[in-house]
Amino acid sequence: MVKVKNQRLILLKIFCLVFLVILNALIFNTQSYARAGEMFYFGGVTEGSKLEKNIDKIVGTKSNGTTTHSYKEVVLVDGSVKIAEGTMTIKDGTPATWQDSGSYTIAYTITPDETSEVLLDRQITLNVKYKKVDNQITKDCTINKWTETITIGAEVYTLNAAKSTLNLPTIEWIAPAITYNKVVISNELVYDGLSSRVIVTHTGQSFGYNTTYSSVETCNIDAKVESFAMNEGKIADKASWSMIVNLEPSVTMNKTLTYDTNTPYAISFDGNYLEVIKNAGGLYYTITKDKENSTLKKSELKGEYSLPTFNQTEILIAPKNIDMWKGNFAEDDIRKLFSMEVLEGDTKYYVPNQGITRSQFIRLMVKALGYDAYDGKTEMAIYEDVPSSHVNYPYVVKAYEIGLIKGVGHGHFNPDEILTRQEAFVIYTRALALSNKAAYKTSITPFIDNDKIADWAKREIVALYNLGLVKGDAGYVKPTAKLSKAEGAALVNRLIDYLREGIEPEYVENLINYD
Amino acid sequence: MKGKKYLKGIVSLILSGLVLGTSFSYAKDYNEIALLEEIENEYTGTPMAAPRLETIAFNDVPNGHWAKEAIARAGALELIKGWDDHYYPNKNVSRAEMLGICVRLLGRNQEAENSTNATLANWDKNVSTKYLWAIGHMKITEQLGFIKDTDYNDAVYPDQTILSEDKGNFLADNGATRSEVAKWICQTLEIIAPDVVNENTYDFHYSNIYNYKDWNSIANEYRVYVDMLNKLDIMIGSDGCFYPNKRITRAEVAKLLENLDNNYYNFAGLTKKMGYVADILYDVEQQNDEDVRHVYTYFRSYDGRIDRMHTTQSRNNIGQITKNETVVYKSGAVGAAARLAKADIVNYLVNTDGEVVYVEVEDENLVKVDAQLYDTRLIEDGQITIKLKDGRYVTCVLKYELYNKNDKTILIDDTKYQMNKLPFTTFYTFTMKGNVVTQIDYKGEEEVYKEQRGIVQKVDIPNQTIYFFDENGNVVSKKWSNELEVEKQDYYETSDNIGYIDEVFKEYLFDKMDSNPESIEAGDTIFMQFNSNGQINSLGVGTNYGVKYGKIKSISYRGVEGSSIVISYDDETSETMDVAPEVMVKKSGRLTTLSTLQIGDYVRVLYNRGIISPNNVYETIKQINITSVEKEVTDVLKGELISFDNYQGEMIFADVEKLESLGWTDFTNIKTIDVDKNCLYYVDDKRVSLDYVKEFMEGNGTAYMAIGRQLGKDVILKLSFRTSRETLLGEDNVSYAKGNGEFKLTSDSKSYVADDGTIVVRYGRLVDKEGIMSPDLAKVVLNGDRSCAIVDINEEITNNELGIYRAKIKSLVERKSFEVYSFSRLLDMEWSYMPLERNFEINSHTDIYSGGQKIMYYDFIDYTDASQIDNIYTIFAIGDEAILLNDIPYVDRGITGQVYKIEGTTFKLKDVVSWNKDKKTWEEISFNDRTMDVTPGEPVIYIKNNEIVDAEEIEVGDKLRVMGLEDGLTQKQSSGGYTGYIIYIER
Repeated sequence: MVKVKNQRLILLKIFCLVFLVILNALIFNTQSYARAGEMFYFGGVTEGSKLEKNIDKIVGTKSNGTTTHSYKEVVLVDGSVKIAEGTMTIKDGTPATWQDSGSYTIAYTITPDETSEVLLDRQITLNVKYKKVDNQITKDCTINKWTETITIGAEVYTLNAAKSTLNLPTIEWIAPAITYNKVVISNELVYDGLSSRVIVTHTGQSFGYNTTYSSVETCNIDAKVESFAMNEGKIADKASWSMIVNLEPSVTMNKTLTYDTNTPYAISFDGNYLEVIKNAGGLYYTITKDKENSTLKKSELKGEYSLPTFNQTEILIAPKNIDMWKGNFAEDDIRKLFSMEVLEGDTKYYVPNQGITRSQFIRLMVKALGYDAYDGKTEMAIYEDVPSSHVNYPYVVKAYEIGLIKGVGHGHFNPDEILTRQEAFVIYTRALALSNKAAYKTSITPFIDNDKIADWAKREIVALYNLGLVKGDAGYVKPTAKLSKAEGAALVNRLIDYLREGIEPEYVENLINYD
Repeated sequence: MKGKKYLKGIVSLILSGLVLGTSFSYAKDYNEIALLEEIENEYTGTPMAAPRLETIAFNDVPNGHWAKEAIARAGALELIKGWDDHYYPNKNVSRAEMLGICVRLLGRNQEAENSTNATLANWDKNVSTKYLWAIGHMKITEQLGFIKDTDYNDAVYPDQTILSEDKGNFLADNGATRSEVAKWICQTLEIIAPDVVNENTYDFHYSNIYNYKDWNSIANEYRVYVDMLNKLDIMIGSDGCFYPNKRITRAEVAKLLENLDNNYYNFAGLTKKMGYVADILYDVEQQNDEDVRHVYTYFRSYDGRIDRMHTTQSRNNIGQITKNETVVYKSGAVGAAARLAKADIVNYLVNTDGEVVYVEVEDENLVKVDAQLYDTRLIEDGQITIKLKDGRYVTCVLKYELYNKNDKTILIDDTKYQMNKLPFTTFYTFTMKGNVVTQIDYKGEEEVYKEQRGIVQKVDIPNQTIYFFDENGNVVSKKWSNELEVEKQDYYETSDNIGYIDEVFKEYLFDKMDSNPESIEAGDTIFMQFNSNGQINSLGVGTNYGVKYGKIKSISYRGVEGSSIVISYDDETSETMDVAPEVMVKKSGRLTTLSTLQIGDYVRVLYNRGIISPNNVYETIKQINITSVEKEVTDVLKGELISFDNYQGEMIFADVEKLESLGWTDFTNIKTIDVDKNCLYYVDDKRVSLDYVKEFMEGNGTAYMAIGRQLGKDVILKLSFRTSRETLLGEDNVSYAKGNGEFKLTSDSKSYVADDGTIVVRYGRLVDKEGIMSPDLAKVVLNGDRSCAIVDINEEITNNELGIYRAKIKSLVERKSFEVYSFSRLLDMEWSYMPLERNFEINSHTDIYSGGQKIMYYDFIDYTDASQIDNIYTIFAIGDEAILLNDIPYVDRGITGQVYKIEGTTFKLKDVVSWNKDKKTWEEISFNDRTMDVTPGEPVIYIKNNEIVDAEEIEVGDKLRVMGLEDGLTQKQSSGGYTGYIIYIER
C-alpha cells in the first residue's frame, strides 16, 4: 500500500508539471456596465454620460462611482403635464466584476433647479441583488430609503413610502460585443397632498444595450394617475379624477468616427480620424386618456423635450506609411483599424491580399470589441495547438473567455489556418449573440451554394441573413472562400460601424415609433 | 475491508490512466501492479475449448471476415456448427437449423438429439434425410409452441415435394424468414412475457416498427416480436426497412446471437465481464511424468478488481496433450489463451463452474458506449464511474483534456460543465479507447414516443401532405390523418402556456393555439407525432417571424388580391411585398385599413419567412405597423450654407426662411441645424457626399432643406442645393403626372420637372419624385425655368362630412342619445330648417359645453334643476354621432379671407369678403383696404377637415371662413373687427 501511494504522489507531481493548468472563470468584461438606469424608471430622462475615451482606458480616470446629470421628468400629480427640472446624482455601487450572486446599493438623488415650475426633491437608495447564470444576470431591487416631495406652487405632495412599491426586475444578457438589458417596470407611487392622495402607477419596459461604441436606453411607460379626495384623514373610495399618460424617454450615447483633414500642406501627415463622442436624452409624452373635465387642447395632448449636450472629440493617431494600401477597396477600413489601434505596429506587414489567419482575425475582433488581451499571469492551455508561446495566444485566450470562440473537444483551434468566410460569419453572429434569429438546427439557407456551407455555420448564416447583415453575392455566400487581410479588416470595421450607429435606430427610432 | 479494496483498484487505475493520458497510447509505458493485489475471482479454462477451437476453424470464414468474431463466439458457446470445415456463412439458415439453434440456446440439445435418434430408429428409409437430424429439435419447439403441430406434421411429411409455402405449408428445409427468427428468439429466451405477446392487446403506441417504411408487410403475429428485438437492438433493419420476409443467412444468425448478449448470457448462467489484461505469469511444472505449463492471466475488470484465469497445457510421456484452455478471438483470428497479451482490452465469458469459455480481445479502435455518468466524486483524480445499461459499473479514466481538476469541470459535447450543472440527462455516449474515455456526448433518455422535427417547405392541402426539411436537410413528405390536430400560436398571441392543455383537459373550451393545416406556412418549424398508420396525428407549429423596417416607396392596389407595396430600406435597397387583404394594419396603436398607407410612411412589417430552397425565399406578410411622427417633415427651409461643424455634426445657415402657404416667412439671420445621419445631399439632381457639400457648397447657391425632428431636436433629412433663379408658384392642383417627376398644374399648360434633388413632401412625408400624383394639391417652388426645388403636397381640406345643427332638446336617454324637436342644418352660410324630430347619439367622447362650462356626458340628464330638456344647442355631428354640443349663439352671418398675420389670438385676414344675408352673395368689404381682424368669440369652434381643432392649427396663409353675429360690411365701415363663433379653416 505504501509503495502504491508514493508512486501515485510522484506521478501526480509529474502530472502537474507536464500539464498546464486550465483556469476556469469566465471573467466577463466590465467596462461598460453602470449605464443602465441612468435615467431611472419614473419617466424622467437625463442626457446620459459620455462614453469613455480611449486615452482614459490607458491613463485612467478618477471615478468614485458618482455621476451627476441634468434631469427632467414629467410630473402628473396635479392632473396636468408639468416638467420638473433638476440634477440627478447617482451613487453607483455596481461591482467591478460579477460574482455568481451578490448585492450592491445604488442611490439616486434629484435636486430641483430653482427655476423649475415644479420642484422635485427625491432620494432613493436601492439594494440590488443579482445572480449570474452563464451569460445572463438577473437583478431585483428593494428600497433602502425613499423620500420625495413634489412642490407645485403652494401644493406639496409628499411620497408615502410605506404605501409605495417599486418593482424593477432586470435582466442583462452578455454577449462578447454587446450587453443587452431589459427592465420590467411596474411601480406604484402614492403621494399625499394637502387635500388629496394621488396614486401614480407605472407599467412598462425599458430596453437598452451597452457596447464600447454606443449605449442606449429606451423606456416605454404607461403612467396611470388617480387622485382621491382626502378629508380629515379619510380617503374617498372613488377617484375624483384620473388620467393615463404614455412616457417614452430615451438616452443615447455613442462614438462616431470622422476624418479631419489638415490645412497646411507641409505637415508630415495628411489628416487623421477623430472620434466624436455624443450623448443626448429626450422624452416624448402622449396623454392617452385625459382627465375628466380637462380643458386641454388637442395639441397639448402630445409633447416632447430633449436634453442635448455638446459633443466631445478624441483625436486618434495617424498611421504611418499608409500609401501601401492606397487605392485598395479596404484602404479606409485598414486605416481606421490602425487609427483605432486595433491594428498595431509597422503598417507594411499588413499586406491586403494575403490571407488572414484564424488567430489574427480573433486578435482583431478582441481588440475591436475593446477587450484587453489576456494578461498571461496564469498559464491557460485551452487549445493544444495554441501554446502560450503563440504570437496570438493572449487574444485567443481572451476570445475564449468572453465566449467569442468555443472550446473544441479535440483541443485544436488551427490558429494559423486562413480564415474562411463561414468561420468569420459564425464569429460575427456569436459576438452579437444573435444566432437565435434563425430557426434551431436550420438545414437550409437561401444561398445557392447552400451545400457548401458547413452544418455548424448554417444557423448563423441564416441569422445574419434574417438581420440583413449578409445578403450574398448574386445568390452565393461563398462559405469556404478564404478571407484576405483586406476583407478581414473590412469585416471587423463593419462590425465596429454597426456598433457605433447600426443598432441604435432599432432601439430608439424604431422602438419609440413602434405602436 | 471492502472499501479499502475498492480504493486499491482505483489507485492502480489512476496510475495507468495518468500514463495513458500523457502518452495517448495504451500499450506504451504500461505500468500495472496487478500482481500485488488481492485476487477477486479465480477462473480456469475449460477442457471443451480445444475441441471447440477445432470445430470453429472454418475454411470459409477467413480472418477478418465481418462475422468472424460472432461465429467464433457462437461456436465457443456451441450454439452453431458447420460441417466439413465449412460454415457456409452466406447460406440461408433453414427453419430446421434455426429451431435447432433455439434448442441449443435452451440448453436442450442433448435431449433433442436423443429424441431424434429414437424417432429415426423407426423411420421409413425412403424419406429424405436432409433435415432429419433436427426432428427432435422441431418436436421440442412444437411442444413449446414455437411452431404449430401442423407445422411439425409438414416438417415430417414424407413427400415434401407436394408441400408449398404458397399453400401455407411449413417447409423445414427452406430458409427461415426474419420475422420467424424474431419470434422464435423471443420465445426461446422469453424476452417478452407471454401475457403481453397478444398482438391485439399489445400497446403499439411506442412501437419501433413504424420506423420502417415496410412495417406494413410485417405480419400481425410477428409485430410484437420485431418491436421487442428492435428495442433491444438485437435485430434491426437497414435502409429504413425491416425486410420481414427476407431469409436470414448463417453469418447473420451468428451476429444475431452475439447481439443477444446478456439476454442470453443471463439465461444460460454465463457472466460477461469486461476489462483488460493486467499481467500474465507463466509457470512450468514437472508433475509425475507430465509437463504442465501454467498460464495465469490477470484481468483487471472494469470494477477495478483483479480476476485471474488459470489455463494449462500438459503433455504426458506418450505425447498426449491435455488442455484446459479457452477460446480467444483477437485481431480477426481465433486461437487459445496464448494469444492474449498485456494491455489487451477484453470481454470474457465465465460459466457457473468458473470456466472462462470465451475471450474477445477488443480492437483498440474507439468504442462508443451508452451509459450513465454514475459517480463523479473522483473527478479530481481524472476518474468517473459509469453505469452500463446492463447495470454494471465501470470506473474509467478520463483523457486529460476532458476534465479540469482545479475547477472540477468536465467537457461534454465540447462544452465545459461544472459538476453540479451537468446536462439534464442520465445517459451519455462515452467514446472509449480501452478504458480511457476520450469523448463524452449527450445521449439522453430513451424516447417514449416518436416525434419528428422539421422545417416546412410546402403544404399540400388537397393531398393532406406536408413537405419538410428534416434535420439532415433532406426534403421529406408525410401524410396527415383526418384526425390531425394542429397547434399553432397566432402571431399576436404572447402567451405560450396553452397548447397542449386542451389535449389533457378535454373540457377546456377555448384554446387559442388550436389551428388547422391551412395555417401552416413555409418556414414554420414543426413537431410531428404519428398514429399507428404512420400518418401525422398531431402537429405543433413554431413560426419564423421577422420584422423589416422601411419606407413605402410606392403602393399599387389590386382589389381582392390585396395590394403590393415597394419598401425601401436604410441601405437604399428596396423590395416589393405582396400584402393580402386580410393583413392587419395599425397606426398609432389603433387598427386601421390598408388604404391608410401612404407613400413615404415608415412601416414595420411583420413577416413569416420560409427558405424553400436555396435562392428561393418565401415570405408572408402578417401585419404592418405605420410608425408615427418620427420621420415626418415638420418644416421646409431655405438658406445659405455658411459652414459645417465637423465636431458637433451641425450645419450653420444664414438668411433662413420657412415655407408657408403664403410663401417664405420667418426670417432668421443665423440658424444652426443638426444633420441626420441618413441625410441625403443633392446639388441640382445629382447626389453628392457630405464632403462635396463641405468643399464646394459653402456660400454657393440656395440650400433647400426638409426638416424633421429627432428627440425633440430639428434635423436635416434632405439637403438640396440649386443655383438658378427662384419662382414661387401659388398652391394648385396637379392636373397630370407622368410618374417620373414630370407634372402639370391646372392653372397653366407648362410642364414642370421634379428631379432626384427635389424636396417632395407629401402629407408631411418626404417622398421620391414619383410620389407626385394627380390631383394632388401642391405648392411648388421653382428654381430655374421648369426645375422644382420643392413640391409640397398637402391634403385637400373638406368640411362637408361634419354636420352642424341647431336644435332644442326634446328628450334624452342618459349616456346614450337625445332627441330634438326639429332642427336647422348649416349649409355653407345658410341654416336650412327641417320640421323633423331627430336622434343624436352621445358617448364618452362627446364634448358638451354650456355657458362655457364642460358638462361630462354622464351629467347630461333630464331631471333635477340641471335638466337639459328644452335647452338649445349647436350640435356638431358626423352622421348621428354627436361630437360636440355647445350653446354658441345663432350665427347666420360671416366673412372669409386669408390669414396674413397672427397676433396672439387675433387673426389678421386679407382679401376679405362678407356674406350678404339678403342677397345670398359674397361682397367686397372695401375697395382699398380689404383687411379685417378676427377675434375669437366666447365660445368659439374651429373646424378643419371635418374635425374640431385648436386655434394652433391655423397658420399664416390659411383661408378662414368666419361665422358670427354681425354683418362684415357694417363692421368694416365702423372700423371694427369681427368676432367669430364658428371658424372654418379652408386652405
